[in-house]
Amino acid sequence: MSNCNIRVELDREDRVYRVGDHVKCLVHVDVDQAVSCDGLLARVSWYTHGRGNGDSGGNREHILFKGEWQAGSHVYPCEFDLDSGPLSYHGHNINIDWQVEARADIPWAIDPKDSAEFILERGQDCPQLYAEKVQLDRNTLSNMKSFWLFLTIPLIFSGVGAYKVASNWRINDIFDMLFWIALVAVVLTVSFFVVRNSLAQRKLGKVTVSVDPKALNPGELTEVSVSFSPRVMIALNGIMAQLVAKEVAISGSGTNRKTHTHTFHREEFPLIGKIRLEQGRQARYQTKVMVPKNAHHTFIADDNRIQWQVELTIDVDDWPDWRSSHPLLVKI
Amino acid sequence: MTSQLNRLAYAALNLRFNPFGELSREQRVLLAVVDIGDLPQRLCQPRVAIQFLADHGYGKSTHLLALHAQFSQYTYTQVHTNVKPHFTAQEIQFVDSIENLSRLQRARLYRLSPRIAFTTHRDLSQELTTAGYSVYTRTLNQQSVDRVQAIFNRRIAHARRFHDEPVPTVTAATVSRLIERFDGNIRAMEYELYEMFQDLKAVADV
Repeated sequence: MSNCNIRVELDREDRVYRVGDHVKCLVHVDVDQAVSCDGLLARVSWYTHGRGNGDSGGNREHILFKGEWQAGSHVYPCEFDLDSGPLSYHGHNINIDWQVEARADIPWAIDPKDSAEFILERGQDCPQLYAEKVQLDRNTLSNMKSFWLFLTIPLIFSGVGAYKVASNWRINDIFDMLFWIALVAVVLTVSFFVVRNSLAQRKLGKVTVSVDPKALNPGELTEVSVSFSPRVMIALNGIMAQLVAKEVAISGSGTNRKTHTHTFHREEFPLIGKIRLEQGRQARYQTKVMVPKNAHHTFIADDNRIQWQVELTIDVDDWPDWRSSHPLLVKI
Repeated sequence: MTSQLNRLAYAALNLRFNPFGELSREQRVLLAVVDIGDLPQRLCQPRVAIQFLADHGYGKSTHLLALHAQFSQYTYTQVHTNVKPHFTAQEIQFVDSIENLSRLQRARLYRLSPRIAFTTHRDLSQELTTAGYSVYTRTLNQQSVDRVQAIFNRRIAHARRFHDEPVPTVTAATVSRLIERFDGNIRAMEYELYEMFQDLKAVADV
């Protein structure tokens, strides 16, 4: 059995590239005796690692050789354009890296392979956005799922409770009682979150929020404005916008499926402090929210997401708060 | 470590990734530290069922994957809750989380499968015997310090960047403490170690 070793060497010693650069590499192949190769493939791709299941993409590949290798060393140069993201990212739950991978298809043997990872940074001019439309659509979908989840859980528990009462059910022991106390607490808590905004709007009136633009570059500003006409005279403790960035990674599948969330940026932008508002008088407040210059762009893959959002809170004195969340698309 | 590479992930630890993050199925097979003993031979006998029985996080799937690696020509099916998988008749079935199938679905599966290996939280010996199988049960609830330490350090070795430079190691004392704290649940121990490795700034014993 012949021995075949592969090594990938990148042209930059620090392995740092920018969008718009080319990554040049040499694929070294050492064989100790003549061997047939059905294809020496070089591929560039991004991949994630960390808490979540691995995602990958951006594959581009070249076939560098096909045929018979004689014993000795062989070197194959190749080059890939780095014209789009995602950019490299090293966070808590999620890491995004790029690599050049080389693999030789040797008949009747385990395919030898090697890879060299590299860093991809923001370039001077990044012409391509990273899947802009998909990202906004997915965020919207995610919000819809949360809404239906919150609505369904209390309905199920209420249904079970109603059935038990209707069937003359009796509390038999302390464990039954503790279970039902916990159940009622859960139902009340979830129900509160479902109806919280409705309760707040009984005093605030219909609340309209605008975030514009929703897609922006790092270092740019978005304007957040909120308007409403109070139905009664009310006191507010303040209105606050928060810029929040989260890593959301999903690991496992089926019953082992688990979502890991890590908030890595939270910044407050007040719209107004304590204030009393007259009934029926139109109230409109606004602020500018800046995405940090070094912010990593929005990233959405199957099991790994880096998402930015503006969270708005109207803190009503002695009454449930009004809250809403608005996804942002941070461009490359 | 080559100082020019210090911007790569986990470069200060001489690792390519956090060893206690989520692994792919292929990596789990590659890194499995399991003793399947004579189970491959047993699985070659007629009308035999092998069940790996334990709670979450004790290595049932890893054992089943290691066994499946010996019979990779047969399908490995992961059963999720509320998803009805389609089984076709084949000589050996490998089924992960069989308890997610209803009793009726399992009965149908038994009719299609002369031999079967699966993971479960519940002991299904009785219904398997009724279905005509000889049943071998491997209960996974004991974790020795040596074995768990081998599992963890194998994962670290797999994540190693340069072979001639040191990497962090998980000590027997830490493993012992983790086994006691998490009652032998390897997945829970790995979650804890993930955080410990995220906090590491340089190569050290953990």
